[in-house]
Amino acid sequence: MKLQRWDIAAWGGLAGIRHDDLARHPLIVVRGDNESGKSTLLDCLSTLLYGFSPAKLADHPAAPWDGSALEGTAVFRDPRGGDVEIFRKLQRAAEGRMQRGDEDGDIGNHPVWWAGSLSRETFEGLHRLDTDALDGLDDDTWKLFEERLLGGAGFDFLRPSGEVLAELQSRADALWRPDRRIRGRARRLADAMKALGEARDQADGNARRLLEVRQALAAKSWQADELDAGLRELIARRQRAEVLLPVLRTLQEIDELRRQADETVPEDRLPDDVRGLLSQLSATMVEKGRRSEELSARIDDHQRHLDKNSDHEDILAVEDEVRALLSEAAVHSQDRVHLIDLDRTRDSLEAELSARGATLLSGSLDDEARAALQRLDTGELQARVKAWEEARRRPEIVDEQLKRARESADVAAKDVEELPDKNEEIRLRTRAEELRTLQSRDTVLAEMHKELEAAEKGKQPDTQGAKERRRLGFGMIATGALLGLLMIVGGADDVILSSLMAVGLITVGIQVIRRRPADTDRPDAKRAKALEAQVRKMRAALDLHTYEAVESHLQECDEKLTLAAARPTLERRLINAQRRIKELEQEQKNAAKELETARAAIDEALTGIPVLDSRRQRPGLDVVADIEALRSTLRDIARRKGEREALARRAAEREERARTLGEALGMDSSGEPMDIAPLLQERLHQALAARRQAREAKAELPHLQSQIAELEQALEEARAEHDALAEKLAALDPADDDPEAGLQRLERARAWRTQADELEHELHAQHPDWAERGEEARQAQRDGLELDLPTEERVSLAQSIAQLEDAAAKLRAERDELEAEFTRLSGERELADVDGELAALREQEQRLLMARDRAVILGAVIREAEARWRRRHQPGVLSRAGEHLSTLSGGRDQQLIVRGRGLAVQRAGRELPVPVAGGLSRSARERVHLSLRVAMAEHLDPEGHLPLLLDDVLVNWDEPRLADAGDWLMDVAGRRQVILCTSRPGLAETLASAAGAHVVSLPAPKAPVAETATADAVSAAGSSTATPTA
Amino acid sequence: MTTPFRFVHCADLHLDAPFPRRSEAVRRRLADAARKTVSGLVDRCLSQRVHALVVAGDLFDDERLTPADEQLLLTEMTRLTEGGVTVVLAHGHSDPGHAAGRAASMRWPTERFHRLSAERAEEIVVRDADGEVVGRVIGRSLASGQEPDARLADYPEPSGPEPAVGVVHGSVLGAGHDDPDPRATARLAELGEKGFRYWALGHSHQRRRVLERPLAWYAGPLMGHGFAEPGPCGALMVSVPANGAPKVTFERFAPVAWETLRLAELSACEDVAAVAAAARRALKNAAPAVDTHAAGPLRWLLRLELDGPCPAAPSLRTEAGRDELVWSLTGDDGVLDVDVIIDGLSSVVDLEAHAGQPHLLGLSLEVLDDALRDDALLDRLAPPVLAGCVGGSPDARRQYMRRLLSGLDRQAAEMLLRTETGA
Repeated sequence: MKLQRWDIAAWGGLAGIRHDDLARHPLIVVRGDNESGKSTLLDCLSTLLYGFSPAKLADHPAAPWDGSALEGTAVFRDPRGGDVEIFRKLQRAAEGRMQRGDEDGDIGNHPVWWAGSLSRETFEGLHRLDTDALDGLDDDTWKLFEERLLGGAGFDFLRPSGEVLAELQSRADALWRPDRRIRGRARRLADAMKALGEARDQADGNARRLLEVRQALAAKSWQADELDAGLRELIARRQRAEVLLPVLRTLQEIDELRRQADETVPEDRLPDDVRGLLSQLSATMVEKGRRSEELSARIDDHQRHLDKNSDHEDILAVEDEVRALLSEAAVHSQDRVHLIDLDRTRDSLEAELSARGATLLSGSLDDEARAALQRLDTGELQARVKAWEEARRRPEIVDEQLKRARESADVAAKDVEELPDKNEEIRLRTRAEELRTLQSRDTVLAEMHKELEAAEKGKQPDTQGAKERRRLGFGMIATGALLGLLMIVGGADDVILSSLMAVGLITVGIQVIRRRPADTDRPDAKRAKALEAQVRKMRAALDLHTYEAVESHLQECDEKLTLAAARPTLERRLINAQRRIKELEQEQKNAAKELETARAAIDEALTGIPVLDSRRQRPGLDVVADIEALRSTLRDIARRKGEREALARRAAEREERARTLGEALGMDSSGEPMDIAPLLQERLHQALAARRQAREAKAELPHLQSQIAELEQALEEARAEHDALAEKLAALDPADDDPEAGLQRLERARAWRTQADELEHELHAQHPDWAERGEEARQAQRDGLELDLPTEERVSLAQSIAQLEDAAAKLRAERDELEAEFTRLSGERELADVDGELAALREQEQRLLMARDRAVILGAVIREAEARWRRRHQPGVLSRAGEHLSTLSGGRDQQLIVRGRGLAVQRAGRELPVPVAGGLSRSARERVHLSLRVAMAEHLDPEGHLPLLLDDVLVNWDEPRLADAGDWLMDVAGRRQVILCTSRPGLAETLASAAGAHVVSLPAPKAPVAETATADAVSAAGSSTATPTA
Repeated sequence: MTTPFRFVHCADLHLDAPFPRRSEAVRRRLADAARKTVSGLVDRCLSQRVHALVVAGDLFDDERLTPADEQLLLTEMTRLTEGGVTVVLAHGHSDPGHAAGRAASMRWPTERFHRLSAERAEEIVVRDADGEVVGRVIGRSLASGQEPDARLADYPEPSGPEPAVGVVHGSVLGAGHDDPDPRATARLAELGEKGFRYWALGHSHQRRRVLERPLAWYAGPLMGHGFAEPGPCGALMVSVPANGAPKVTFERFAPVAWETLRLAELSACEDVAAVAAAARRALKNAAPAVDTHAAGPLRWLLRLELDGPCPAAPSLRTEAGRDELVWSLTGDDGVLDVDVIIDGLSSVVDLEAHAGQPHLLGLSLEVLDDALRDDALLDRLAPPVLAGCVGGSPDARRQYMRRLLSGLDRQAAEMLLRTETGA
């Protein structure tokens, strides 16, 4: 089948690529630049033959970015006639159609029928060669390739068999090795199992021992039971001798004692301690009698208290008054002392009043004066005194103001008088003007004289203008000189003009320097003289000396003129001063009147009080203070007087009450009334004590009477009980009816019973089951068993029991040991547990050994497959490859043979073949490689249905080799279509011309528009960004 | 007499037989589970007021029975008989009834407890609570466990009209055994010759009915001891009416079950979690639809045999990957322990694309295919020493090798094809 046409609608970067009429060209050269899509074209052709892989558009490497479908068509020409069109498209799913003539069939994603048994991977491994396959074939790489090639693994998707076999062997050895040189996992497992085997033996032994121990324990238990039975029998015999007999004897003794007691006192219903009870009853009777007497005495005492209480009824009737009077007795004494103190204080205050009144009053203070003093409003008086003092100071102030007003008026009148009149003022103004004129002319004249003097001395002052003129002159001269120099040195164009200018400049400069000051600059002596005369004249007119200073006169004139200007002000001041004098004079009169009025007001306030005239005439605040002191003293006297009167009244009242009480109680009233207070207190105390005792007696009397009644009743009962008991005791002595004899009989019977009880108690302590033992003993006695044993038999019995007990103890110890061993063995690891782990390990070991065997068998399978490949394919491939190699090498290399594990080339003229690895150059190895791959392809596709796709495989070949390659290609193309892609135009032309190859071209790769545009945009952006900076 | 003869038929508890697990903790839990199984069985018999418990042999493992578990058995049997249930115990291979055996030295209950004699077949009369005879159990124990014949011919005819039940511990020839145990065999035809209404069989660890008329059942193990005894285990509740067909119902008593899950469709499992999910689904399918017995929740011991192409194969080949899978499954309450077998696991490869191709892989696949049929080739491929089959006959070696060839095609492809990482 030969390719007639391809039509690629969209495939990776290829679109709308169509080439037709290809079948008649066995060798097709596809020329295109790098990235033009040559490899993509070959991918497309592979896919058209085999279908899409991968079959999802999203995963396919040639899928267009825009998500559109992959689509292509190829037409193959059948050598038997007819064309077959293959159409494949990948969008949602892989589609495929095959059309032959009118037959249109769906092939889905399956290969074309003529691909035969060759899979896509095999096709691409053999029929498609690219540069990389021939590039870098150094010795090591070649050996690897050779091994794969000769072993059927000459495809890129397969690993070398040697590598795989080594890995499998490594895996197998890691698991298990027969020679045990390496501790594989199986070996480690075996070790673990061996250890477990030992553990199993141990566990097995433990289990067996456990059963033995259990059996031994059972035997020991049986022995122990037997021993216990024998021991129990012996112990029973000993018990009969040692326990039952004593018990029986004790019981008999008890019975005897109780029988004697019953005979003596058949029925003992008397209390336990009869003698004690009798003594106790006697003592009780004595005690009750004594208590009864004591109570009677106490009742009598209480009765007496009740009687005595009536003696104090009179004072208890007035108990409250007496208590009040007694509580005030001490106060009364203090009040008496206080009255005396108040009298003394009153006298001293009267004396103080007299002393104070001596400096203020003209006479003694009678009651009216005291009343007047008492009524006096000292605040009002103080206000009036202050008003008087104010009024008294007012005339003095007015006098002082009047004096100052008169002085001001005098000064103002004097100032007015000293003012110049109008004419004088005009004259002063004129003179001042003339003085100022004179002053200015004096100044000008002095300056003129100074200049004239300088001129006369020849010292023309170097004025600023002269300096500038000199600088200008020198500058002009220098410029002219420089101009001339330049003219001489540099050769000016216009020599004449330049010379004229230089000379001119120098000349003018000299003139400027030499120019003298003008006449206008010199002082005018005449003018000075004229001015001097004028000044002298003016001085004369002003009455001034020639050299007299003008300034003082001018100052005098100015002062006078200033005074004249203040005339209105001075006149107003004078009028005001005169008016103020008048006002003050009127005010002086008013102040005198006010002073008189204030004094009258003070007199009015002091009416009724005999104040000294001297103090009345000058009433100050001292008068007010003195009056206030008098008033204070008077108030003190009055307060103490009232206090004394109150005290005296209360004392009198108390004495009256004391007198009344004394009379009511019949007490002596000859002395002071309050003197009865101590007596009252004594009597009240006695009365209260008597009342308290009476109350207590009254409260206790019923209780005492009740007690005495109870005592008498108890006494009667005790006596009755004592008599009854004595009667019962007497009945116990039927002979004499003597209570004491009866009591002695009773005590004897009771002693026997007590003895019997004690024996029984001891028996119980020794034999808690004495009742059963007693019954047992009686039963044994009834059964005729001998309870008592001879001593020899007892000793023998004790020895037997001891022996049996020793044996039982020994047996228990052995049993304890066995139980301990049983417990220990039960805690040991169980056999089932060990076996479980062992079984798990065996399972693991079995899986591991199977994994090892699987790896070894797989290695054997791969070796067998490799051998099959060699048998089936190697001879044909090597023979065909030798032919290719001969063509490619121009006949230099004649044959390709296998030597050992590698390939060798038989070269013309060489006796021995040259090994490919290590013996051939790199280019020679490339030829061998190419020969082998193509030979293999031809071997597997002998009918040449599938094309050979070569992707730039000759790109590195030189011209001589290319010539050989052209022959080889034509040779190969004679059997199958060859499609060679190349980016070398020269190679295409060479093959076209030398080998008749049909050349088709792929369009140049499109510029990545989007990327360029983006780059331009970025560039533009960069420019625009840089502009402002520039 | 209208009361049906109701009894529990169990066998092959093998108390204290080993549990093949590496983990000591798991072994302990399994041993505890076996003890709970005994107690659960007794509880159920008492609660259901059955007339009898028929043990068709191998109640315990004679060699390994510990004194503690012996005591447990005695205690539980005593509890059962005191509850009014008759116990008929036949001894099997593991607990033979000879005089030197453990069973002979054990202090079994004296009332309502019957150890079938190893000397001769005997009939045990079973009575209800009122003392009326409700059934008869006829059988014998194995003396040593090595007897070649079950000697059914010696079984007496039932001495009364009540439903009669035969007890045998052994293999029944013709009952579909793949590889019958040559010991204590009986012929299927013999079962129909005695006029029994039901045959309580023991010894086979696969619960199954072996005969319809008369009805004969292997009860299967009371509790499984390995992956060879898969699924929920327990006993059969049998009710034999005076007239009519007996009714047989299985009840689970073992709180644990062993199960091998072969997961061969893993090509869609991209990671270990997806494999775990597939395992859970498989377990859900294997679990009984209805499991209402009061033995408590069922815990599983799983063997996951991962087979075929799986994208997660590289992860699962690492110990960490397998640990993750185990952890993921045992995290569920229902799974006690997991074995992961990955011998048949491979990466995803398209074998068809390479089969028949003229390259090493194509030829390897061809060799493997040939080896399945060609003994000579198989012998040629065999290494001098097969570690897993030492000393076997040539046929046994070939059989062993053919087992190993299973899945080797994918392994070959995996080894020979370059991966994306350039291996």
